[in-house]
Amino acid sequence: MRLLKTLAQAATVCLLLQPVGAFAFGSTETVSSADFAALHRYIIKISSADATNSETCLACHGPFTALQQKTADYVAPNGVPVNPHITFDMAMPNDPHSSGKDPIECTECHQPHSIPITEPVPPANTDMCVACHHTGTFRSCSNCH
Amino acid sequence: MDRRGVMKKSDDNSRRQFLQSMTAAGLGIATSGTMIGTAQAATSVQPESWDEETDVIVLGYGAAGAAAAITAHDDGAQVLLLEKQAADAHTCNSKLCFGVFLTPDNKDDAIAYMKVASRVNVDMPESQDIDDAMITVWAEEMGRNNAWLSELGAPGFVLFAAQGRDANWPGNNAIKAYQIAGSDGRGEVGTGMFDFLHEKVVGRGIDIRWSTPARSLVSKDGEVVGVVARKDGRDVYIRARRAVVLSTGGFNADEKALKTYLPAFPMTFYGNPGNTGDGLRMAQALGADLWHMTVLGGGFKSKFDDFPTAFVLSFGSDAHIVVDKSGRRFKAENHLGGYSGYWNALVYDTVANTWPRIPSWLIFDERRRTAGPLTSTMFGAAGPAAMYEWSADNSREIERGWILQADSIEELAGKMGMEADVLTAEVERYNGFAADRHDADHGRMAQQLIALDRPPYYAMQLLPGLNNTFGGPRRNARAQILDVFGDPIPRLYSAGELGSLYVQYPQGGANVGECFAFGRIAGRNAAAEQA
Repeated sequence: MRLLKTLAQAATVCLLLQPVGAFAFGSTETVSSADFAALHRYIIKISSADATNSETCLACHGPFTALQQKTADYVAPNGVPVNPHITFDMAMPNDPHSSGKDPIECTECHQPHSIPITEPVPPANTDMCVACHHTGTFRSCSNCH
Repeated sequence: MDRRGVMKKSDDNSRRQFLQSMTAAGLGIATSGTMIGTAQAATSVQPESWDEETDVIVLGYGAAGAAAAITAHDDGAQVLLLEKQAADAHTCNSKLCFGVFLTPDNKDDAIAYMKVASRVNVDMPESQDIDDAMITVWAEEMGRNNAWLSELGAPGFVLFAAQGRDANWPGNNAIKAYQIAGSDGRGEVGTGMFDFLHEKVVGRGIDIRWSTPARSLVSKDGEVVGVVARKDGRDVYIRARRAVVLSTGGFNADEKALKTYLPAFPMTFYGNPGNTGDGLRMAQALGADLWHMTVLGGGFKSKFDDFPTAFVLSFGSDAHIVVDKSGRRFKAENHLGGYSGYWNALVYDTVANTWPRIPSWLIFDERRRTAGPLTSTMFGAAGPAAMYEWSADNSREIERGWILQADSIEELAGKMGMEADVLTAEVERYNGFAADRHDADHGRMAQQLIALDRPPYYAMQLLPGLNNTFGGPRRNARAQILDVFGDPIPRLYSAGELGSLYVQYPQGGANVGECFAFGRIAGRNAAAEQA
């Protein structure tokens, strides 16, 4: 799935972003040429990106470390505090979260949204977490097994 | 009969008549609905005198018996606890388990959750199998578990489960389960949990009689008035001025009851080898109704002929698959656990008239063998209860023949009695899934798709493996045992897994939580009976 299939869609994004302020056309007081160039590079990038690829998401929502900081105080629906933005290293099945490698694909828990956003974005789920952490405490498997 | 009208040990005819009379006492209530026949029958077997007496007799010393004894004592009753096992061979399920107890966050969510978990078919509200009064009492009393333990001196709690078993069941997020906090910050497993309770029982000076099995209940005029127990080779008659509480555990080690009530054979348990259904028969003899005889919770376990109880498995994350007795995988291995996992074994081949998954086999390779014991050493028989010391590299269990070893998959198939071609093809197919990180057959989670490619290869037999039985005498919300017409059998109470109220197992810790909750209810109401 490509986010933006046509130049017309990319142009729509420009126009919709315009009133937001940060990259407003014609507002030379607030937009530097560097910002303007960066915005265009970004639009070009997402125009050809795959929405199921985390890199696409992180172009706006990242970097991953920033996401981790934003959700440091997240509380799961069952009331347990846990940062859901973790890494999962497939090469370390006994200790998958410690290496810091390989963020889980965003689409494991989130549904990609269109740009511009035209529909409410469904909340993320923790199904992938509880597939392993079946008691919902998010403690290490070795606590019980 | 001796001079008191009580039969002697050697008087078998008298014993038979005595037991027949007692059974008749129960049936007298059942068939006539009057107290006359009961009184006559019961009166005829009353001892002229009792060897001793107390207010409340608690039969069976696990978490339920402890909770009942503590509560009855604290409510002013003199309590006598009878336990058939010796103190140094005491392997009640409460000690073998993980020490987890369920304490819901709030009553309303707990009721909503149990309204679903109490259905025989969770999709059908009309299949609810316990009444609303019981559900309400369960929710209220279970919600007090942590507070009760704190009052007893528990230093704190470790959260074990933060939610129930199914996010689609209402109230799921309020279903919490805990362990008592240990000194190292980890939760106490069953041994530590029971030690805590035992300390409270001993601290109250409650009289515990080890190696003293109850043989029968004694009733008079339809009321339970005492117990016949066996101590040092002789029968001892103990009067209960107020009530008797049955907390003797389930029937997981009663071969006859297992064949009678369970749908398949063998179905194995990791619980107490002493759980031989004693309380079940004692209650039946007085006309008790039964319920939840087929309710179970568990997945797969391994049981060996030369050891008295099953082992809790630890599949681990290294290479392994589970196959049926033909050598074929049948389910994503990560979906074989949980409290309903055993249903995966209960598939019957109606053409071949056989159970294709009894037994099933755990197949693993050298990496898994060296990664740690195939059983849990945190609880169960190989845990702190120390019924068995499982070797760290599984070598002793290979020597014992519990684990089969072979240099090739073909050879391993031969040792299991399988067609080598089937198992070999299945392993090759699985290894292809591992390479692709995609299980096209059963959808096993990708992080568990690890190739079986490091010989030697191993196999261990798996059986439908349960944690405990739930069936037993039907009880009401006051923990009274009910007869077949729904009337309480006076002065007879129950607690714990003997006649558990559960229909679907709600979540880990539900059994021990019920031991606490209904132990307290039974203890309270037993102590409140008029002496």
